Amino acid sequence: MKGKYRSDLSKARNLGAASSGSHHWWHQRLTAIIISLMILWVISFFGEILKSNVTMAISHLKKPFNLTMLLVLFLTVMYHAVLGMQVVIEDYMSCRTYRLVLILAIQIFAIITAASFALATFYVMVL
Amino acid sequence: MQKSREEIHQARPISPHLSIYKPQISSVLSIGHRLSGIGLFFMLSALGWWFILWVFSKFDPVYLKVFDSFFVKFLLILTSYGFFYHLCTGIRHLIWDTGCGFSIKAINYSGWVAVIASILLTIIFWLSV
Repeated sequence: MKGKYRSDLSKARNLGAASSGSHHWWHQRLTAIIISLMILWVISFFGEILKSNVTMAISHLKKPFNLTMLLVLFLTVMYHAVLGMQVVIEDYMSCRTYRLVLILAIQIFAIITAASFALATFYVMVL
Repeated sequence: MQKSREEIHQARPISPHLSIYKPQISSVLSIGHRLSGIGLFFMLSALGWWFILWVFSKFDPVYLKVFDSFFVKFLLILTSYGFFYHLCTGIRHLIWDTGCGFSIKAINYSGWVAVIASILLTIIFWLSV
């Protein structure tokens, strides 16, 4: 009913070429909340690692709960960081070509880093 | 003498002039939030790749020598402060997203709370380890 009396122009307005855009903003907030909720674990985990010697630190790291949390933390923070870097680049880089190249480079770098990090956490378990 | 179009464009005021603009708690914290975010991205990448290489070398002790250097220790403390700072000002941003705390008084108050809380968190964290 709602769209029946609207002109084609009014339907197209605010959608933009990609018909989307606000999900970046929303994902930035969602990841921020997830990281904030993990803060107690982050402080206790890294505090424990810094307090102990290498053997103790590795056995602390090898606990399945800690490894899972570390992986979730890294992936969430990396996604949050990529979204943040994209906003900074879009705000301060006026050349559209450099802007696109830089954002794509950061995204590709983040995907490779995240995948390698995930593989490393799996490898910790079998070491 | 008549000015060219380009001269008129250059003479027009551009706002804000950050170099002559009086630093305020709101603007300084906003820039700090961005700068700390950029710094944390690079530290996350560096530490992430350090971890990946360390694990795939089967925990080679050579990698631990990096942390003996004073510069790296300083960098880690700076990163921890950047993390707590970004956390505190980030929570401030999340509160603003709900539409609360936009009066000048509230903005100044929450700003100083974020600064003091981030310094205290950093000190308490390093004293406890």
